[in-house]
Amino acid sequence: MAKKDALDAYISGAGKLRMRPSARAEMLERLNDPQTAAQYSEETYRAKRRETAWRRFERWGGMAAILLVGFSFGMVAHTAIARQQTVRTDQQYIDAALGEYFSHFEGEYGGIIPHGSAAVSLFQTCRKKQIEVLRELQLYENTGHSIADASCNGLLWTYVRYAALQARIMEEFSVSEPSPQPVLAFDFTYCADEHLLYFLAVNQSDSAVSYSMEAALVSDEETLRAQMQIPDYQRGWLVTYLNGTVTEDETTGAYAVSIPAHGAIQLAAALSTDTDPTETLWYLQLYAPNHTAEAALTASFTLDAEMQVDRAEEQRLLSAASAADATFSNQ
Amino acid sequence: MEQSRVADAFSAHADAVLRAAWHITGDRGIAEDCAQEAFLRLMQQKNAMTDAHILPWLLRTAMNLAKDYVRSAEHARTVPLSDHEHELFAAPMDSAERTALRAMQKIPEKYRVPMQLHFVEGYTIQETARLLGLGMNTTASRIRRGRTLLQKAYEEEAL
Repeated sequence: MAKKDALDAYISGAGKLRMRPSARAEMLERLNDPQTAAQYSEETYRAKRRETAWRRFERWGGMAAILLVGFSFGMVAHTAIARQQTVRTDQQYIDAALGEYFSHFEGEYGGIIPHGSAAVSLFQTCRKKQIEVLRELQLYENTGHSIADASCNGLLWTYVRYAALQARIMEEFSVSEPSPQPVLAFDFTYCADEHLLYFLAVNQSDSAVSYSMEAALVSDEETLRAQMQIPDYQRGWLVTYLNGTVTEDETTGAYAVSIPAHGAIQLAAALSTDTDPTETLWYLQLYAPNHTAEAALTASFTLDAEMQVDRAEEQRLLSAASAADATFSNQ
Repeated sequence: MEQSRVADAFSAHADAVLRAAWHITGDRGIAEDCAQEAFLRLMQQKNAMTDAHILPWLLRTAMNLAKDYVRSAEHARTVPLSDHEHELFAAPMDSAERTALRAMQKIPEKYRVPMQLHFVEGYTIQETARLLGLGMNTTASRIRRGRTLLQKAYEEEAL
């Protein structure tokens, strides 16, 4: 059979394929039917499209919404769990580090410092604790308590410890100061000797602590001026400390405090003449910045067990303190 | 489009549209449904359309509807009446014509449709290519290849 035969038969056969009369009549009837026409009018067409769009939304939008809600829930849960774990880990780290550090504090001035974010958190904890302590101290001061009270002593201890720990963190991780230190708006009217020792020790051992203290003290000059009074009961010898260095003589165990002429803050300590060294009180007073009369003072003292005091030096310092007081009073 | 124009178009092109759909579905009833749907959609057309454009538009629409049907799940559940298909043709066919149509149903759609448009509906290769959205060379080669396949299938059917 030739190719042409198959093609011709196909063309001829396909040409006979026509719509059945019944289907044709049905269609013509629909085309002439007003109801059908209305059904396919513009409004109906749009309504159908809206319906189709809604069905699509029902099918795909609903599924997408479910997926989205599920995904969101998963993300929130995941974040919450991760956050909780992180916080818990950091908190545990901080607690452990604090405990460990304080247990070694009186030893080699060492302790475990956590790394990374935990160190930063610890740093912030220290800062927060210091602020809390300062507020409490201020509260005590405002309610007429003396810093020599047991509770105040404990608070001061806590402050020093946190300051030391914070300084250690700053030193090890180069943590910068995020905000100014709170102002020391309380008066170290009375201070147990060990507190002063610790202040000095801290200042000497870790310059960062010294700086943080100084930053706190100079941050509000008005507050400092308001407290620049030397009480009448000031006795003993005076140690001045100004923005600078505390050095220890390794042979004699004496500490020397050098005050530069352009310092900002002075810390004066007065030792009582009580016979019992364990009851010796130290007096700490904040002096005004740029108080040039005392600026050149250099004091030294010995921190041995018996708290031996060079009486001549004591007298000299007392004179200097009186002179400073007089100078200040005249201003 | 106005009802009267759609009715005129139906009278003039219903069979051609039916054939185009039938070549894809292979089922007369489905092809009729597709053709009717194509005309109803023509009624929905808001764009102005010249008479010359109506038939190509109808053919494309009917073929797309037929393709959609073939792809749909409904198609899988339907059994075509292929054995009695010839009895439903409007005009009586001889055995050669029936054999040729059965043979045509055996060759792939991509050859079948261009051949139908070219040989039965009388479109040129260029017009067929434009209707199907194909290149001219592709269309020509499909028609040529389709003829060979038709011949082969026809001979097999005749046996």
